[in-house]
Amino acid sequence: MAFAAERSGADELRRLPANWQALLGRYRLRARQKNRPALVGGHLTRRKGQSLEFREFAAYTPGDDIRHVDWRATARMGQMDQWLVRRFQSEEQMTLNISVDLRPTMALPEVCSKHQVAAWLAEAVARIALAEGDRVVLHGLFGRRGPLEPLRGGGSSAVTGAVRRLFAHETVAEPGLNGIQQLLKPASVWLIISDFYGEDSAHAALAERILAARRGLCWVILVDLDTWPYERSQLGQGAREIEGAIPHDYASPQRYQINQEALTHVEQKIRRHKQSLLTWCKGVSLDRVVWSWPATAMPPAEIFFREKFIDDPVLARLFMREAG
Amino acid sequence: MIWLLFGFGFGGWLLVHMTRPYAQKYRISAAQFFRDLPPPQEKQPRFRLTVPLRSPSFWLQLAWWLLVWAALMFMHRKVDVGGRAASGVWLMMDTSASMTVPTENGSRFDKALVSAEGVTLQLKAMDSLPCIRLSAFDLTRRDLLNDAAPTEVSGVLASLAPRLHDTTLNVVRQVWRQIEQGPEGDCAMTHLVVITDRPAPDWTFEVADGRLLWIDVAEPRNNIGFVDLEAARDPLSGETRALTISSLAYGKPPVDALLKISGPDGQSLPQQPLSFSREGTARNRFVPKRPGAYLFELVPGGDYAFDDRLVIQVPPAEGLQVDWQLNDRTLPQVAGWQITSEDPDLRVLPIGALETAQNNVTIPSLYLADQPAERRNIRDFQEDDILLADINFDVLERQAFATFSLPTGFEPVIRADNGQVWMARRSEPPALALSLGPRFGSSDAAKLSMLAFFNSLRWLLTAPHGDIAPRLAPRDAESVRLTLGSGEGDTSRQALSTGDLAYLTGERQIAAQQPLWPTLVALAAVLFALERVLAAFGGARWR
Repeated sequence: MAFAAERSGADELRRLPANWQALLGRYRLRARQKNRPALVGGHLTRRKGQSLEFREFAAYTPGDDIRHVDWRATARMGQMDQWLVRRFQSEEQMTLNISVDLRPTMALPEVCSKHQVAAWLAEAVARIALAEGDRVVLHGLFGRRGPLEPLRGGGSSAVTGAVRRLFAHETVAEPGLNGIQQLLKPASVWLIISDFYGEDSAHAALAERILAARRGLCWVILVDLDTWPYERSQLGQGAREIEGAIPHDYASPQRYQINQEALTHVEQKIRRHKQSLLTWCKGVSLDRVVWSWPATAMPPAEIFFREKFIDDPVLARLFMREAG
Repeated sequence: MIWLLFGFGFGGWLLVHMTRPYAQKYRISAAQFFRDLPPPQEKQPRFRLTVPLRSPSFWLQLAWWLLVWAALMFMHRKVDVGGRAASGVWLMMDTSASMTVPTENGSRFDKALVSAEGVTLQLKAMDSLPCIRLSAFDLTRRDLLNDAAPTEVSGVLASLAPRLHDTTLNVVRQVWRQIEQGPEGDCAMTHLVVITDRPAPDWTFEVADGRLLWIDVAEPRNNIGFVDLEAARDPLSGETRALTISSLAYGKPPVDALLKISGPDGQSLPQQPLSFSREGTARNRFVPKRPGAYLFELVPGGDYAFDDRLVIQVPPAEGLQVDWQLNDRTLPQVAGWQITSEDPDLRVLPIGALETAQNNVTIPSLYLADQPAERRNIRDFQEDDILLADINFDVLERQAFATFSLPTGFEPVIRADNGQVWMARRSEPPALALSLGPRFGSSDAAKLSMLAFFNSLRWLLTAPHGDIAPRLAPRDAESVRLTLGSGEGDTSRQALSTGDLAYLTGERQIAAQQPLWPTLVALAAVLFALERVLAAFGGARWR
């Protein structure tokens, strides 16, 4: 029997279904490919003053950085219609930083919690990256401990174990961004999975870190887990006693009169709150993925996640489906 | 009443489960964004008909209620539990006087010894020898052996003999209660064997699993015996006027039974026949001529010898003992009364003492008024009252007698035309106020005053109040004081035993029974505790 707990612990999370092994095997990191039109400045560009280790020449394909075309080598090869580009070692091993929001609000709704979806997303992305030989760092936003790192080359069980250990962290009020700062290197990716319901002060600290990462040519992707449409549909209208994510928080529950006007007011407050983060990140471009829980006919959690994961255009740029 | 309480409790519990929360509760992640919304305005009904089918807590609580209901419904039902062989046996032997009554094979006590030996033999043959505790009882219990082996019992039994004592079965009941409380010590008593000539009491038949064996060695025999003694005493002289001796026949009374009487110094007095009624009772009246020891014997006395002889000490006439508080002591001296304030039979006081008299004094009191005398006519009086017996009303009206105001708590016996009384009485505590006497002399007034005075004395000293208890001491011929009518002489009963020796030795296992309700209540308590623990730690999903 599962008892209610103050936060969604690792014991309540389910691992990715076994039939996802084949599915994930069909993806690979898009980071080694072209077609990242959303990136500004190109995260592959080395930082000024640092050298990149040369690895090999490769044929130019559309999307490669034109500045990497080695004209001398191209001329030497005598094929001016076949340009040669330099491939560098730093391009080959990318660091994927996955930050998962561990706050109690992520433990709801109970039918398909945000924690569960975030755990599956982190696990799926981490498995793909590790299979490609890349480095993956798991980080708990608002978690007490520092970033974790799965075993390099470890199997799916190692990834699952690392994700569960992440969710076993005790939560704190601060986002805990100090430990991850040095990991946001150029050519790395920072995937932030959250509902972005944190306090304004936390959003301000996060925004500061995002700005620094973008200046460091790190690709930042925000995955917004939006459960409001579903929760709104559950409330209906009338007198309601609303309790938050922490069962023993004596500030709640409170009684409210729920009607259309009240729901619209709440929705606007949520939107403004999330927009504040983007406002603080003004001036840099961010990729923002929004996964909304449906207002009606909520499917089983596995089906919901699969549909969101496969159909998401931003994540599609991170991986590439093999032909067939 | 208990069902009413159950109904209220069950109904209240159902009502609680039907109680609708004031507002439906929701747990959502965006709760923080609702804080500035206004509270609800509308009222909602608090109750709705609903069955909480998905609430495990409800079903556990319902099971608890059903168990309590079952415990009430089947409060008197019993279930079988197994019996067991004895591991500690308490043997109690009756040594009262009635054990001397003969049977076909010796006395009852001889028969009891045989039964005791039989029990001991069975216990010796058991695979696991029980330990033995041996006690004798009559009016008290005497412990003779403790933590003994069966082989040690015979020697002690041989030293036992009946005593000239009555029987009380309370000592046996106390021993059984001690056994019921549970085993204690190395020689833990589990079974009780009682060998007596008294029938098994009702409570012994309720003992389950064969743990009590009651052996009644009595055989019906005929007997007659003294059961009661009454004495009539002259209230004024204290002289024992007559003795009434009651006898009872157990079984068939003899047709030629006689009451033999011997007077002081052993002289034989006329015998009296005993005439038994259909109920078996006989009453004989005897007037002792002088004080001394009188021996009464029943001939033939029957099979129980200790209720056939009675010695009665008739005391000398002590005279009336009076607490005389008047100054003039002529009358008590003339009457030969003893003037004493210690345990008197009567108090005589002036009427002024009424104001300071202790109302809790139960000694009959006579208050004499001494107001100036004057002639008065009779206004009214209590008709046919014993206090006015032979009073000449003409003399009362012609002569001058004092009258007085009716005292508080008294009722008038005869009242004068001035509204005051000549005589008044009070029943509790017994008292009489009188202004008519006593006067010495030969005049009509003196005669009337004396008559009124002695009428008052007789009323005060006669039952139901002022009953002077006879001071007699019945003894048997050996000067052992026995209780009359104790039941020791009842030899006509059939024996009534209970229990079986086979259960004692474990040769038979009895289907002992225990009430069912404690088990049901215990189960209900377990369910209650389980539901509370799950409610405390299970969270909202459990409720």
